[in-house]
Amino acid sequence: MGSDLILVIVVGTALAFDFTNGFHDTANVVATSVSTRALSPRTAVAYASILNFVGAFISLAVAATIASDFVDQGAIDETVVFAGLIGAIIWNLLTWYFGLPSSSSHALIGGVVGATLVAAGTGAVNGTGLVDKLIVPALVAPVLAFAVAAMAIVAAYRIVGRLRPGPVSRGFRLGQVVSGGLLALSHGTNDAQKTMGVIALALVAHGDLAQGSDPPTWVIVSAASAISLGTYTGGWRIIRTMGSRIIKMDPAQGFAAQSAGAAAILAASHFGYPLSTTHTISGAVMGAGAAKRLSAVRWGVAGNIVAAWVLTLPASAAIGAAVYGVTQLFGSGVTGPLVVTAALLVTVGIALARRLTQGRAITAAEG
Amino acid sequence: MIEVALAPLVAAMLGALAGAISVTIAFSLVIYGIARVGDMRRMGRTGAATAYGALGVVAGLAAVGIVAVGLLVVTSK
Repeated sequence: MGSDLILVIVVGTALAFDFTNGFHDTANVVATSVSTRALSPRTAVAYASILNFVGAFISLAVAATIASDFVDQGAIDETVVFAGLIGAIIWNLLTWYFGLPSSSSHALIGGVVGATLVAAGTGAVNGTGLVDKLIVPALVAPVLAFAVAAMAIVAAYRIVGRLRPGPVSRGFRLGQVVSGGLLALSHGTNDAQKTMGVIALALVAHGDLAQGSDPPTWVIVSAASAISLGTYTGGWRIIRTMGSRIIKMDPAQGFAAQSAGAAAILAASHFGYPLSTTHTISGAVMGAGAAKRLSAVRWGVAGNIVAAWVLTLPASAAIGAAVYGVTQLFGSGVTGPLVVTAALLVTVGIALARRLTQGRAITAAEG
Repeated sequence: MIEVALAPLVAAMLGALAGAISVTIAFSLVIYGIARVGDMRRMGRTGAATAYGALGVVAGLAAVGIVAVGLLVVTSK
């Protein structure tokens, strides 16, 4: 009974994580289409949300990597998966609160690895899998997306450079409907599968799924729904702020950036590499910008990506390990996860209330 | 000593490179073809307009084909 309750908490937490992932990443997925006016913000968000949902169904390779390539499925229980998820959520909340760069994907894997290290020792962590499937692709993907987008835009300018700008812009805006759709599809494919993998890991630990099996259909549908709903909900926030935060690029650059980002994420998904989609899309946008004018690129974003690389994995692993330690203070049952969940909810509530109060005070002072 | 499996990584990199660049080139050729059709018609050069139109159609089919093949590869196990 207690074990069942922990599983329910883990599945609920994983889906909440998936929702926030979609919520958080809407900007990355739709910004290029909206900034070049290829799509209206409302249409872009609804379109991205639908394709996020569809994308979650087209591959299971990343879910298999998350479920079996980083930690020994037989050596962990549901509490380890819970602690890993909470570690990732705490890290994401801390980085959001203090404005630090992060990667939700790396935080998720770091949290689970940290909790596994404490619960089952170094023997339960697959170092080769981590380097092979996570760290090396994490370093390669943004650089690859940058280079591919730069080469693509140079090729496009060579072909259409002497034509009148009006028809060229209209043509690439039309093309962006497809390239933006592919980017949203690729985002759903890679990011939704991370949640599927974590839920599959918990189901294996609970004895409901055989090791090495694909996630059940209800896991795929619920992960697809959570990320899609998150993308749609996050979009309304983006619609309000888009006017001041748009990326300046022409439709040809937008098309090249979206094509490069989508190609890199889809290729990685096929081979089971769980990428940071944010880093990959940022790399593609910077590549398309740099090919035209180096000064057009916000190099601070590149610095943020490097900082996120260095910080996220070890920090989320440390938090995941600490959370597991705290749950064990209350024994091996459901009490520990329940106490941690309650403490996290109260802390988040206080932090949000403080943020709102400070916001009102600043507004009042400025007024 | 940890060994990185380079073959799938290189395949993913080459797949992304080939897919994105070829689709961008194909779509640029569609735009080029369509834009030149209009120019040639205005100049009364019907033959050239037809040739540019054919270029646009072929490039369009190529772009659709590249996207379709890419998606088929990703959906295959």
